[in-house]
Amino acid sequence: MEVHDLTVSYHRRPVLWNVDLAVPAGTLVGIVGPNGAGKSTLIKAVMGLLPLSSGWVQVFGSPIDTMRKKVAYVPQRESVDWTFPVTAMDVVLMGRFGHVRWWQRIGRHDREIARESLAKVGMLGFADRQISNLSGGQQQRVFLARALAQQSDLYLMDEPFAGVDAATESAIMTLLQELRTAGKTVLVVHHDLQTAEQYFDMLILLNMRLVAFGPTAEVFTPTLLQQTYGGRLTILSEVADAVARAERGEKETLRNGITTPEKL
Amino acid sequence: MPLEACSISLNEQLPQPGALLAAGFYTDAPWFDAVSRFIRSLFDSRFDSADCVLWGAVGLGIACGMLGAFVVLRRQSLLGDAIGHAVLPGVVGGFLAAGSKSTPALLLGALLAGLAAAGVIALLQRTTVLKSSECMGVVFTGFYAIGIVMIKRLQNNQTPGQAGLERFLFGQIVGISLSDVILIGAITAGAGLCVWVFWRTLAVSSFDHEFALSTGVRAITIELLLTTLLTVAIVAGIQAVGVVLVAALLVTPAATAYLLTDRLHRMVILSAALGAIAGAVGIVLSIALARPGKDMPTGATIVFTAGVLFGLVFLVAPSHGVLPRVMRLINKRHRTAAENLLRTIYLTIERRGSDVDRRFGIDDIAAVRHEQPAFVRRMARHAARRGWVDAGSADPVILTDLGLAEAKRVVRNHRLWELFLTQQANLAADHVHADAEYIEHVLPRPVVEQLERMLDQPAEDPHGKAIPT
Repeated sequence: MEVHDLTVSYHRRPVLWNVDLAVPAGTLVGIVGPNGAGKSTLIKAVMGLLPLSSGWVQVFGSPIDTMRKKVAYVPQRESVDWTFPVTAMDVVLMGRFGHVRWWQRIGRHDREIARESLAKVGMLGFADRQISNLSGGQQQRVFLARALAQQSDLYLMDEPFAGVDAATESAIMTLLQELRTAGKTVLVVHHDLQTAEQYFDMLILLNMRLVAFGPTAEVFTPTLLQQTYGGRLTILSEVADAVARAERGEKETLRNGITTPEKL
Repeated sequence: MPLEACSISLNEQLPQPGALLAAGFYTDAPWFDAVSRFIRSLFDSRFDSADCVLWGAVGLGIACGMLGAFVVLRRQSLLGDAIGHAVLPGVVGGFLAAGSKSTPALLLGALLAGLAAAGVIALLQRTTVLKSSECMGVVFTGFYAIGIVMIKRLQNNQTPGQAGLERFLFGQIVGISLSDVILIGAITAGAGLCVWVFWRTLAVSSFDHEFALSTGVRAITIELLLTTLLTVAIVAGIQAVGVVLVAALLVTPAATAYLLTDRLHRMVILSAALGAIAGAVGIVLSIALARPGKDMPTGATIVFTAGVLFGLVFLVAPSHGVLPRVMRLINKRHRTAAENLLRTIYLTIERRGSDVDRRFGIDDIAAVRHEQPAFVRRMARHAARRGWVDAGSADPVILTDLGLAEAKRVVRNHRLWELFLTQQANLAADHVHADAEYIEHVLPRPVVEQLERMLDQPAEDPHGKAIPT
């Protein structure tokens, strides 16, 4: 997966600036950074879910649109309404939709893959449960099973460890390691610095721009973490606001004036 | 905005009652006579106006109910309301373009206006800081107002052929022609085919939009597909229920179905069926409530029927209904009372040191529990109904084998929970009894097994009492 000079904006406000990345295949990569650092934005941009202000993204040497069958995306659990009237099995089968042409039916082969995927996350016994009757950890496992059912080579996961119980967390971790062993590439947005060091081969340190990218041992250093979490990028935010105002055709007044670090 | 619409209908006589009465259902005879003539003419061999009305309403109910399921699941009910109101100028525009009230022209105009409104709403959302509800509010009231002005102008100018256009405000299906029914049937079949072909896309994008996009579904495809289907359903529905109430025909049957099932395909089918029932019953109601020369808008009666169906389901739906929930609560209270009685009995057995004598006096139990004997008798009745104590004897209470097993289970739950709280949650032994009093009644079997494993099959509770097995 390669990202070159990527800039992404929400409502014309840049939230991610000039990111360059080249993730080697077969690695387990953590994306860490403070709130609002653009972690989810990065993987959504890679998936082509957000318009790019500049730069390009390539997956296995091709644009994402030609490679969608090889990439599985796991959104944040909170991004969907879990009272939706479907069972765990129905959700996992959605992972097969991209592999079936629109005139074809979902076949026995697809059901078999979905069942295997549910079994891998230990949820086969809950296949016929309506999804609102599952715990948060179980819902997250269903999301992972759906990604497994896509049988992809690259997995992009948005906070799969958020709000899950300890058993689910270790089950998910085992699963991610199995994927890596099978030669798959896995990118995980991660919130917990304490576990980041032991979980991932490589880390992407992000705070509106790429702070560092490399093997965990090399980039998980106090200096780089301080740059990621400590140094508030007030200037970058203010410039982003200015860009947004200019692009929207709004008046060029500074609302609060630039807050310099000295004032803080 | 319904007020403006009302003022038009109330201030003026219906311009052409004859057209509505042509169907022949409104007469001087009592209402049940009109209804029975309507129903009889459904079952005769001729396909006449009664059949047209019925099948028209049923078709609309199916189309709106089916698509309404997706509207409700995507939380787009307000969009349905917005497009419903916004099609009014299109109806009038269609009349002006065709020079007559030809149904295809009116519906085509409505379709264009509906899509235009949806487009303007999407544009406002993208280019301003306004949220979607404000965008819709601005656009649909504006479109609706234009429609009212156009209708009023036509009326004031006595434009030939305009009479009856206000039927699109509140809906009046009585008097539609066979070709209209065929058109409605085609719309319903087309919408059904679309839903069938695009089922997976609709399902996945309604549940998880971003995931759908990540698998290569195009956002514009979904948006166009749904907006078009929604508008078509609304356009089909306005003949029967009018622009003001058409959103209800989309939302109410679907919301009703949502309360009844937790599978998507069942919800869509149920919603369509409920829409059809509301349509059919609403027609009969409209005929029953009409008076000579004064019709009753079918929109009001159909939506009223749908609302009554929703109310019924809200009350009695098996899992989500209010009455079943209340029944379950009452049952649980009774069961808890019976279980408390068993626990007191078990403590007595422990004091006696033997369960050979299974007789327990009401007054003794009342004394232990610090409760009135009458209350204990009620507990005993709840226990007798469950076969835990002998139903033949009121005082003393006689414990059955089943009752003894149940008593052990309850006491075991109580003491396991006390042990858990003291050992694993680090609570003092004198803090845990009150909690366990409640928890003992709600612990599910798998949790009890988990507790047993965690506590390593304990023999005694924190107060040194044996945990029964």
